[in-house]
Amino acid sequence: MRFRLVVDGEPRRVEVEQGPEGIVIRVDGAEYRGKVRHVDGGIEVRLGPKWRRVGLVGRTAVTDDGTHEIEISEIEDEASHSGSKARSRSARALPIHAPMPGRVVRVEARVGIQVKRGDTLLVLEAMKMQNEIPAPHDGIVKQVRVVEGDSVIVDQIVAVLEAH
Amino acid sequence: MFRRLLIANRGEIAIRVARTARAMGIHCIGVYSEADRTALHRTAMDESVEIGGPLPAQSYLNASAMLRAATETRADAIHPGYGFLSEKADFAMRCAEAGIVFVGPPPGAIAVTGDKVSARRAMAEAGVPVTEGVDRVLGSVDEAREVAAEIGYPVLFKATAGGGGIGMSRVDGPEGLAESFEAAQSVARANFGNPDLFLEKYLQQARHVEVQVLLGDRGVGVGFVERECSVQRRHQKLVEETPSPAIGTAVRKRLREVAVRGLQSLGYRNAGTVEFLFHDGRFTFNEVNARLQVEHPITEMVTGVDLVRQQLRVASGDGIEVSQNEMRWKGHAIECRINAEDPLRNFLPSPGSVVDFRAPAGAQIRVDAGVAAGSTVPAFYDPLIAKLVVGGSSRDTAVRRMLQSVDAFEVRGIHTTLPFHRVLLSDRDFVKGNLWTTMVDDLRLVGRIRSRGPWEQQIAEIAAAVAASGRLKSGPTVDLMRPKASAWSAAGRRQLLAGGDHAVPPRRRW
Repeated sequence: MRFRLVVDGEPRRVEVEQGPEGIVIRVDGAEYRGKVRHVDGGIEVRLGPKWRRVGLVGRTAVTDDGTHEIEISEIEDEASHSGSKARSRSARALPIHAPMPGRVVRVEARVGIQVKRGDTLLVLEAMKMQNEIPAPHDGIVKQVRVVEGDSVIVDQIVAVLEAH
Repeated sequence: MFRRLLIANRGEIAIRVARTARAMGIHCIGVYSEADRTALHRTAMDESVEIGGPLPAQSYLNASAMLRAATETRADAIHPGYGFLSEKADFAMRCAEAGIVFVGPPPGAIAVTGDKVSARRAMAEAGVPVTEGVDRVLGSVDEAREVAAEIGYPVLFKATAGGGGIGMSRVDGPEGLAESFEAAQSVARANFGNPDLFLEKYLQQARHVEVQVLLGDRGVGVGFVERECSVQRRHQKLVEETPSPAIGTAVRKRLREVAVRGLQSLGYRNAGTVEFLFHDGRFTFNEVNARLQVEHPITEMVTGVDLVRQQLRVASGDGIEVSQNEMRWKGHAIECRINAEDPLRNFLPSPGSVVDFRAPAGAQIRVDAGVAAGSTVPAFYDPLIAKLVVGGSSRDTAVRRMLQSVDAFEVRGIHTTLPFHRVLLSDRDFVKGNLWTTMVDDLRLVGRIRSRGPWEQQIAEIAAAVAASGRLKSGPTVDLMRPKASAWSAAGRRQLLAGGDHAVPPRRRW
């Protein structure tokens, strides 16, 4: 499960995986492992040494230290993409988001080519640095949505992979 | 002294220059690009002028637009800060032609130091020890191979027009040479419009030390106690300190004398820095930075000299206020560069909205910031948003104070290099003063960063709860009726919850 979560005006890209061992959460690439349990009137999460209660009411999250305004968008549920029987069970469309605003200085990905995890898909220039955007997974490039010279905004989808 | 000064820069350095200039009674004129209409540096000026589009070439690097702004606002001097137009000899020349004083070295000295080969040659002639290498542009791969074999691997290709660590390429043996040569040429062509390369011996486990020099009329001036800037990543400085923990009194004096003599031989005036590599007890010349440097505040902290004030005095003909005999320094100072980069994702640039910004304060703590709560960090410019500078009676005290200050520094909305500094400041080698230019990679410091701090963990907890609650199935939250929470209100509410005095932070005038 992936989504964009804004907490008190701070945007984050979140990935959550539920496993038998517990939950894995990546917040802008920073990984946390822990457990979640439902309790009366809320949810408790343990990522550090302690269980901490999080209450969700409308667009707010209530934690020990107060109330935080939250926004949720761009929800991508991997399960719903891989439902088709025609495709191999693990194939799924994987959108590649621009991790920051910038200018596209090079596009390496071509529709139809096979890429390996870590291969550079395109190069984005921001803050005087050229940043290679790598494939997050092995797969086939299904779409390339930008060309050299384009300006992109943060989280814009620049390409789509069919991961396998 | 000047009456009206145009500050041809943005961010923290524009604010820092204006602070001194306004205290001297000088009317400060700021400039800004389309992307910087709400930028903090505008608020530090008496007036400010829009000079062009968001790309540097359209605005801060646009010499014609800058001169037009200076003429229209009747500026009698221009301070270039660092980067942008600060080391462009032709810009300094055009200022002179327009009858405006350029606060910096004469165009001739900028031209010599800007060409790395001519700088090397000039320094060697002045008796400054230079790193083993060639004093000419390499004509071909074959010539490069010949020279490299003579000097011995590893070697370092450098762009003659280079600077800021860009265009350098290390070669460990003859196999990789041709490829590196061509790659370095194309990087140099792309970045500096000039593919010319030369080559130096690559010094392993070297320290980067540098001497701040200030030269007034007739070349009389002072050299300051050295700074060490060995903590780097991709040849970009991350942390600087003064004095160097590796240098004793005798070497210190020689370094200073050699640096002053080197710049004097170029007919240099105003503030400049001579960079050296320090290796096996020996130092050799690296390059000259013909400008005020990012890390100048650490020198100010241990000496009490305001370098911008001295720059303005030299440029206006009033002369330097300190002499080498009177020059004293005390204690130790460190600077951490706070960049809008995410050290957890390989220093990925992190422009965006600064939702909250709380800098540490106290004795011997100085923060030169270019942003505040509510600011936007555009993607068009370099990522430095603030410099955290602390002093102490000893290096240990300064390191401890820095660690506390880093912990107290809170920036929300964008990712910063603060988590990197937390790890570095606790590293055993760093704490012992055992520094070298590739230590960040060699010690895998970045891999040791475990998290971005407690607030990030809270976001992760909220994210986990959102996912577990089934909330995602009902789709995104869509704000149709209500405007989005502004950065101001979010910051204000957090301050309220934290028991702050203001429900809403004091508003700044734009």
